[in-house]
Amino acid sequence: MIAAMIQASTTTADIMKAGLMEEIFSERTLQATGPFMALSFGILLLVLAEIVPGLQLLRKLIFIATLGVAGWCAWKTIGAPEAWVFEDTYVANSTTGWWTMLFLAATFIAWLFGQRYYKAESALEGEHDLLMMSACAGMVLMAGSRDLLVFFVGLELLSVPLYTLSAFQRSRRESVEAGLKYFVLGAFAAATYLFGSALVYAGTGTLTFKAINPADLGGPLVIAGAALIAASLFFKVSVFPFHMWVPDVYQGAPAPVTTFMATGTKAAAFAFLVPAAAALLPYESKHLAAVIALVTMAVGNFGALVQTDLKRLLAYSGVAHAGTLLLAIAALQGEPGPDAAMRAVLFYMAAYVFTAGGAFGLVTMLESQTGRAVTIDSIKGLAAKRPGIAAALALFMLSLGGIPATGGFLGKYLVFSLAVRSDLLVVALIGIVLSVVALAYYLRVIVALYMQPEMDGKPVPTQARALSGLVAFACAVMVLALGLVPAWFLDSLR
Amino acid sequence: MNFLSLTVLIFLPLVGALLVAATPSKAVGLQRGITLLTMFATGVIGIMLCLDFNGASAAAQHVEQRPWFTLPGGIPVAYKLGLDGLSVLMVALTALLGPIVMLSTWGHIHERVKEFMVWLLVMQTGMLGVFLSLDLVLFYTFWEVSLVPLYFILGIWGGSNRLYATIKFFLYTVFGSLVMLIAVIWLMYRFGTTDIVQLTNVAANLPGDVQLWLFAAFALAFSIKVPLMPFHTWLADAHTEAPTSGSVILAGVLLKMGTYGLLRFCIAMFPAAAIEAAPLMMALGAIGIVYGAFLAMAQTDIKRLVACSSVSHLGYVVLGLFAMTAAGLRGGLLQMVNHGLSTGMLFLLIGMIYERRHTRALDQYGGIASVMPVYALFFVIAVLSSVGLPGLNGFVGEYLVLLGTYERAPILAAIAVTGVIFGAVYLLMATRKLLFGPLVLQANKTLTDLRAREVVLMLPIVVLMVWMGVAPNTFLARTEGSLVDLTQRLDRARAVRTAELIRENETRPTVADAEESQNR
Amino acid sequence: MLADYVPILLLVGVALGFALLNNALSELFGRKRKNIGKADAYECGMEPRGSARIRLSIHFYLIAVLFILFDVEAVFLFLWAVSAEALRAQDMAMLVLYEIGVFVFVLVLALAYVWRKGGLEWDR
Repeated sequence: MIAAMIQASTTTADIMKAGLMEEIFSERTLQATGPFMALSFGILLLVLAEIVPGLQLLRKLIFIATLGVAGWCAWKTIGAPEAWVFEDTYVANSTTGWWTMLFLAATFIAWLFGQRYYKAESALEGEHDLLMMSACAGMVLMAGSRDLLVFFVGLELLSVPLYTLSAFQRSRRESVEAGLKYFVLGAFAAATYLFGSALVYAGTGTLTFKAINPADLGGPLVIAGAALIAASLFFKVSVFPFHMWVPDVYQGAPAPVTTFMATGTKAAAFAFLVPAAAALLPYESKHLAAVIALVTMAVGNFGALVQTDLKRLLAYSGVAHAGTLLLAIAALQGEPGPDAAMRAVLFYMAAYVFTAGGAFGLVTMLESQTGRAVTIDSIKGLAAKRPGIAAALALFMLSLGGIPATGGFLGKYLVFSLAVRSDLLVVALIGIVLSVVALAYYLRVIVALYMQPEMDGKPVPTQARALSGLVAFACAVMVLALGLVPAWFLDSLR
Repeated sequence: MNFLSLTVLIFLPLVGALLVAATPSKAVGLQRGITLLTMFATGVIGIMLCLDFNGASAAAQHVEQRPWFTLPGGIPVAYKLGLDGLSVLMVALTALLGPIVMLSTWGHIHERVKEFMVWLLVMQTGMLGVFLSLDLVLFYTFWEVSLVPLYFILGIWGGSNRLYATIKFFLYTVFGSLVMLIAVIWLMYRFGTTDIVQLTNVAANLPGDVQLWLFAAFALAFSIKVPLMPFHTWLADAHTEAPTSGSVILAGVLLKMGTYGLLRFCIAMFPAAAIEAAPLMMALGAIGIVYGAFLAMAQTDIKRLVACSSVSHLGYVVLGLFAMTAAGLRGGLLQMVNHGLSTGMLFLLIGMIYERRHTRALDQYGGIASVMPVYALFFVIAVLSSVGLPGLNGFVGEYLVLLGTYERAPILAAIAVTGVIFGAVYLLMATRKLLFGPLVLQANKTLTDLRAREVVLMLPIVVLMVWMGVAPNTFLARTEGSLVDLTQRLDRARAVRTAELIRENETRPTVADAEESQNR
Repeated sequence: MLADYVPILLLVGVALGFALLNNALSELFGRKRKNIGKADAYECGMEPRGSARIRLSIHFYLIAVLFILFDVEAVFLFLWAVSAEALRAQDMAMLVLYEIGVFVFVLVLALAYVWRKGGLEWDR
């Protein structure tokens, strides 16, 4: 019997034999998996740094170098011919290259803002960096995967470290609560995902997008499976009605982790959502997706209107942004097609990573300096004491609100043009009206920064942190660059 | 690069803003100096460019075009600037008002001077950009960017209720512009270009109902900005709360962005829809004239009064533009400049008296002419210009507008004429309460007359008022080429529409035909 | 096809038979002395009754988690062993060796980490 099994696997091995070694060690594979390999190697080095005494001093160096090498590998895939590896389950092209760069940027931003943030947990910073890098590796895997199972590996590689990171401040009740909440719901989403992919497998006989026969897509099993997969991804990107956890977790988790989650996780899930929707969702899902997008925007924007805590406000705003992006997913079933949707989503997320990354990052800095939650009241009068920080925060708010000359505007422009092109004109109009609502609360932040005097008993810190200020400045430059001179980025996507 | 280029004109203020931002915040004198210098240089360059403009040609001049970026789908977006007959007067007005507004800030901006100067200069860049862009995306960018500085100016240096006013202003305008954005996107993908000149040529051929939708989307944005009657509520709040310089910019230039947009996009780009919608727009204009006048009469706050008169005066502009006759268009354009000058000057004057007395309630004044004769002189000139006294600028504009309106809609012209009378009533009444009568209140007896700076900053306005009143052709000649071209476009659209109507009438099945076909 | 499963059926039969036989034999021939300890359910020597909410040392959980982690990792060795046989026949023995080498190295690294962080010490 065992002999029979060996026999069976020998026959598959026969087929693969022709070029397995060559395939694995080919330049193509190395190029495609380069960023992921670099990150994995970095993770091992970080573990090693924790084991070998004295090596701990090199930890930050290892972290930065790993991101650098991974970035270099990703840079090489941009503009290179598309490489499908591992039996079409994983792809590397310009888009995934940019996505990878984006994840690295998100990780780096969150990491930099996290410096000197932890006080009681500073002894565990090695683990913190390690987990962050694992999550980053997970994102890279998610973006490149074109197979439901490979994606799941990436998803778990991302999620499990994030559960831990959310609860990283063990002494803070809110942090533990956030971790637990995120874990329970995340595990639920993972199970939903697995069940969904099982159904898809039952309906199509494969998990690889390329191998799916389009004729199989209409079946009830596949539709149910796709719906379950969509639900679990919606959970990750915080789309209605799977958004409830967002404000609590964002508020409770340590601020650098929130920065990371808000930018990186969302980007990674959307990076996969676009090809997954193109491969699995039927054309009829267009209007349903559009309606969910609108409801998400409404829930996010109206939810944010009443928030006073800045992290919660940004969390709800993140929900609204997920809704806007979902509009692109809805539109990809129409005339523009998945490639155009991918470009729009990528640009939107690129702007969002720097905008939200910068905004959350500044909140991180203020929180760690004052030791209190950052609220609308507590930032009143910031412009007088810290003009640079206030200006950056105001710029991020305008970009989130989609005012021109910022990357946020162009992202929104691209997404709404997708909607218009795929005949979702009414949806686009409603969405536009909802984004006016969004401006109302972004303006409230600017009002507090510039137009109201400092609150008694809530003094703003008088000193800026050089590093945080520098990162915020870099983010601001990127936001403006994406809005004013986007040609270098847009052209490389074509 | 040639110094007389539109790029220099637009971005000089921005460079100035960066310079100001780089100064230490205590160096207030330096900041004011840099700003004044930049504004002055911008003004000179702007006016020289406008003098250099050949009014007989309809083509855009001083054009600068560079590729900016390419949108997915291969649609190139260009950085394209140009000056034509529709924008030349607006550019000149903006360039001129820049240094004047700057000079006025000495009186009322004492806190956070640096920030104010930065926003003032950014504002100038934004407004010039709006008038000079010949690319839809570039236009939209400047259009929204110009909101932000005023938002800050209103919100930081405004009156007691400034936060409400500034958020209301911002949300109102952004709502309109976002609806416009959808139309922009639609146009862009329909024609594969964002070039305004090309779009103007091709969009006129769109079917009527499509044009009407696009017209509505654009018109909503611009009507809110103007503001036309149902959307006017933000204006009074914004004006009342704004600092003097903010009010002057708002009245002088910002509102013109709305009427300019109506002209360049709604009328020139969608002529068929404009003809269709003209009765409605004209009616709204006429209602605005009368309604604004009534509102103004009821005000006790002098600044609010002038703000309401703005609604009334801009009604003339809309009325004239949508009459779409040779006289109406010219009157509308001229009235845009007139309003910028006269209302701008009124706001300046109100600011000056407010700086001295810190109240704007009319009943707190009276008899001021005896202690401030120079002030009174300027105030009376501004009021007379505003009510349309022959020999001053207001008369020419209003006359042409009424003439143009009479050709199309005599009844609306009659209604609008009453506006002239009401205008005279409330403005002259306000003048009487403010300047004449007995000098009762002790606080008014010690008022000092205008300083040299204040006189100097108003002199160019007065000169222009007289010039425009006496020889309006100096200014109208520059718009001639574009307006003739526009009139021809409109005539073509009318001809097409008439032909369509005739064909419809001929081919429309009669009742007998229908019955016959049913029987068959 | 189905005949392939006969050995499994046989195995099940033998196992069942063995258990039943032994139970029956001890029931028949064994001496029966009853006491409380023998009547209890088998619970690792812990009191079977009372509140279920007793506190256990956190160390138990740590050890349990570590055990499960390494246990699960060890399962992969079986998969490796199965395909190694096939791949060895394809002259890819070295590749197979490298692969498991990397895998074991990572496992060892993890073990070393746990050790270094004091996860294996009971008394802390």
